[in-house]
Amino acid sequence: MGCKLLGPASEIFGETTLPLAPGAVRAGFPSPAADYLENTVCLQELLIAHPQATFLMRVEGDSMVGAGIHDGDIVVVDRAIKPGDGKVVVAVMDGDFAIKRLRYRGGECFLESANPKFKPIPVTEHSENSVWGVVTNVIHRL
Amino acid sequence: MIALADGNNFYCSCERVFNPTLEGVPVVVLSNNDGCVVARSEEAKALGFEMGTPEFQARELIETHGVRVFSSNYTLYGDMSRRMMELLTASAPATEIYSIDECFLDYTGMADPEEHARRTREQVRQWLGLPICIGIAATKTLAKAANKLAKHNGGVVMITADNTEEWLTKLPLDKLWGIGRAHDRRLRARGFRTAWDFHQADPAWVRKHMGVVGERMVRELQGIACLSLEEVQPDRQNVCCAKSFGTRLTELRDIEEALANYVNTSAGRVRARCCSSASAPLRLPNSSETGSQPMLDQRPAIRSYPHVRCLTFRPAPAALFVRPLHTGLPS
Ligand SMILES: [Mg+2]
Repeated sequence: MGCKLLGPASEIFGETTLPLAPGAVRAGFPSPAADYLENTVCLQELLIAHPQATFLMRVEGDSMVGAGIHDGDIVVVDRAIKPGDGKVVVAVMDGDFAIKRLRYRGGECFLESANPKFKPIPVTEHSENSVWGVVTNVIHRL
Repeated sequence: MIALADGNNFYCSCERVFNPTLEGVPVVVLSNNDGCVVARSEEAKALGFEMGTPEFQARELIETHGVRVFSSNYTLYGDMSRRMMELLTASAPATEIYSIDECFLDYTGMADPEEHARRTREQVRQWLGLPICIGIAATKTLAKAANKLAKHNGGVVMITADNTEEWLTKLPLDKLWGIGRAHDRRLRARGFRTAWDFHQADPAWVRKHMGVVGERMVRELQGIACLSLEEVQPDRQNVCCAKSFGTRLTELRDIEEALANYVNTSAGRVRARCCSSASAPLRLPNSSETGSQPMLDQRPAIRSYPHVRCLTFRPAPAALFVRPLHTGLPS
């Protein structure tokens, strides 16, 4: 499963804030318009903790479908976050970018897919260099 | 103290961030319109690539060593520069963005400037994947010198009153900020070899032969600050992007492509300075700086843009000037 770099995050999301609909949507009860306007969400803030360190990539392949990451999705990648056990990461494998889950097992480091078709890959050398960034969000079109 | 942060081989490093296959191999970046080398990785420098060499002259070297060659991607470099400058600006109470990959930082009163610089350097490497060097000293000129020395001395160098001689003797004269070829030749003829030699120069002689600017350089080397941090840069409100062409341009398409690059570069510089621009006069000279052979044929441009009324015929590089409408920091 590879991924392709998209443009700078700030230019894609912009600084636009969108109104957030109030918590529970109950059928039959009209939402008060005042609440609707009081709460706004900036997609940029919601998805990006470290703007300078965040890059967007488009997903290619289906090795991470078990983690909810599908072919054609956009992943938000944050390089400021320390990679740790269980984190979904963009890894560098044979000169290519790949999305995998980082696992530490018995003092060893593996890159796992979230698809039984793919085997875990042991990370032997330069393990810290092989992680390019940590995936924090997936943008998936329904 | 003043620090200077500078990206190592910036354009090559930007390419590397997004292309892991470039790690450890020679990389050069070419200018888009004329195909001259504008950035070299350390490996490419070691192979003997020089700045400004046209691609066709370097072709044999490129093929022999499997050098990876890229045309300039100013959108990418501009975005990475903006990210880097945001981190650097947050790392010090006052900063002066000096170029696409250089930024002066005010380190006044900092308890451990070297440790702070190392942390900033590590953050830029971690967050952006870009290698930078930081030079620290009492003046801008010394900080520039420290930065040059840092490239081969662990990434961070601090010049203090106690170690000035030790560091400046290691720095060749022509690596000093503001020493052009003419000054370098004159100073060499007088026996100056290193930045330390210039530091020791007789002020009266320097003033006579290099004017107040030269005198100011010597003072700055001696740790007496003559250049302050310019957070607002009144003398840099106009942006100019000028280039000579490596080959004669006769097709409108080629001229337009070159212009598009100028506009892109200039717009990046304007954005870096937080200005919005009002006007952008363009100069398309008809001949090269060297004179006889015209490097650019204006006729296609004049035919296609009848409203372009005044094109200068002075022998000078083509240039795009951008004048700002207003300057101000973004809220
Ligand atoms: Mg540089």
